[in-house]
Amino acid sequence: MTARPGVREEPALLVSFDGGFRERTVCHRPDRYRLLESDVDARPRIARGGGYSYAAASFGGGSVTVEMQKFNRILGFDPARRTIEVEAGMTLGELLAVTARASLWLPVLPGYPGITVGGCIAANVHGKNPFRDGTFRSCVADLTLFHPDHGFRRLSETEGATVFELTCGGYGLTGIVVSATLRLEPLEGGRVTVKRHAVGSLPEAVRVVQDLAGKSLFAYTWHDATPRRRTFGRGYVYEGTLEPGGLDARRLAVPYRVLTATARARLPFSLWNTASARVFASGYWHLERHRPEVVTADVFDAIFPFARRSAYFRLFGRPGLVEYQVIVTPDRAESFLAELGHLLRSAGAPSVMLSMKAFAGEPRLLRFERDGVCLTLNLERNGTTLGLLARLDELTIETGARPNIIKDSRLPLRVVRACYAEHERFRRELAAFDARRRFRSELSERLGL
Amino acid sequence: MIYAIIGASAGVGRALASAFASAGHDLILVASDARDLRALASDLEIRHGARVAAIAADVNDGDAYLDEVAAAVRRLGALDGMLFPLGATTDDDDGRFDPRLVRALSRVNYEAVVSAATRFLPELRERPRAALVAFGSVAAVRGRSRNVAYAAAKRALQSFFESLRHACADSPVRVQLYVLGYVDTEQARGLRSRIPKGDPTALARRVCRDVHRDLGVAYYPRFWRLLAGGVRAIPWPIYKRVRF
Repeated sequence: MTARPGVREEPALLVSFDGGFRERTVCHRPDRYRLLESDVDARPRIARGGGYSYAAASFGGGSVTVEMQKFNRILGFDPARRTIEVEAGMTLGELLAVTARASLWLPVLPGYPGITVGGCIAANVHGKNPFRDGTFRSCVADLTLFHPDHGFRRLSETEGATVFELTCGGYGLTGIVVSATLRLEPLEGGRVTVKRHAVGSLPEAVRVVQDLAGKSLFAYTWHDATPRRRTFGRGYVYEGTLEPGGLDARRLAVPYRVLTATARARLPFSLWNTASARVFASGYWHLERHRPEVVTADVFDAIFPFARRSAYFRLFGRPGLVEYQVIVTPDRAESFLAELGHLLRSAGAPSVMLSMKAFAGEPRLLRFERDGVCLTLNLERNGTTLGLLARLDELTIETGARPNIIKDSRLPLRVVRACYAEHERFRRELAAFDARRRFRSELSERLGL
Repeated sequence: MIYAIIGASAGVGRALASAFASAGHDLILVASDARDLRALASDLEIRHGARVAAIAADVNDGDAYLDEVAAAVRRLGALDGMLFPLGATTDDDDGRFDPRLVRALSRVNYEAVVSAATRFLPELRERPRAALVAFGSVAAVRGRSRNVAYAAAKRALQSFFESLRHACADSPVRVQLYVLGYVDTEQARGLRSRIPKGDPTALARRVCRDVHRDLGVAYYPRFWRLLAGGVRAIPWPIYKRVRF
């Protein structure tokens, strides 16, 4: 007889990063493969990485949350072939610190270093320049998925392609992503030159950002989104270019104060409101005007802008924030932006920040991808905002835009059905792979999956 | 330097492996979970450039694995220390005294450590500096009706390491035993206690930093030394009524 206990349970109160959904749940944190594969009973499961999803994709729906932080080991690294195999709980910050030593990096990196590889696959995230680099799926050479009914399965575009496609952007509903082999790209410098272009309106910014996206490391915009006719939409386009040489991998292993969803909501009230957003937007706009037009930054700060500036999120406090993110096709962008401005102004919306970047991709399954302009709007979470979102949902449907499922913890099924033509196909193929539907979350229950 | 870590693939053992590899040491890792061991070995090699020999073995199956450790030592160079972060508890260890359970817990928590330490002690004595580090438990501070066999084995381990320290006092071998309170590993997961859990990474850094100091018995987290003294001081008429 040997003394080998199974995985242990711990109750926890989990909250979506936007503060919109919280639930008491049971968490498991397996720290070895034996515990991962023996952690099966009748209860549904859902994997959790860093917990940075704005929607409740890693808990809820009566599921046991399987925390994957302990699965964060590097399984193989082949600098010559530019691939690295890592476990799904590895964070992007850790990954960058290792690959940079061989002058390589992942071309698709979302804005926070604490996000895990598994989370990136499940949400099929995008980075700074999805127009040029695509989404995270384009970096995944293969992945290993664990499902209690199917065991460990190696999946790629050529092996188990249907389940691979479902898993990339499948919100963890096909099983637990255990590891993945990622394709890397050369990292040819350690500093990023950021050039600022002033723009007077959103349509002007769309033209500039689309022009720059194909020829720069990144191009994104910042806009004054406060509901004032005189200033609404003015802002800047930031064009990033990698400076060749001077790569010091140690500067990419930067310590930062880790922001969790719980820590983000520690302030009992929001300091962002219409008045503070106005002061911030005006102040930022004027300050930027007086800074040099071209500045340089470390790659870490350019790629993970919120790692060392987490106060922006903390100030939303316990009430939380709303992030409305959509891709609008180029031909509808101008009318969409005009109507958006009208809606924000007429509602007196507490909008804090608006940003845009160019996007390219195929609108398949439930993945946030298509050709167009990606617009991100941050608002204080209150009654006004939630009323406004219902009107924005109608605008989204009318203009054929594609809302980001992972960024909106309240996005209704009706909107997803209208905007994702393959919602039913995803549901059908998921049911074919997993008839018992053993992986569930609040997101999957809300979206009828 | 070269260290062997017995029980390396998870919890405190994994944290020790990371701390020692990041400090530039080469490692011989032993653990029963072969997949985790392979994953950890490749991680330490890639992340820290350490040379790692991974031996998949279950100490419950006897001491034959020590021959593999000896072979790995010959391949890598000379052994400079051994760490024993292995141990196991079960919820059944509640005083029902199942002899098989007692034997299993005694084996993993005590006998396996003693076998390995005594096997390699002669060659450690020949090194200019060497260390033997074991990990006890606050459960062994005073017997109670939970973790019965586990606590007994850990107390035996502590006694053995005290004796070993005495025996090695005139040698370069430093013999240490860390008495662990609650540490945030799978073993302490779900524990309902207001006493804060220690961080295994911080423990591992401390062990790595102090590995050649003549520490004797140390507590982690440190406040457990006080708590342990308090538990010992509780008069029996009260202690027998306490359930924890």
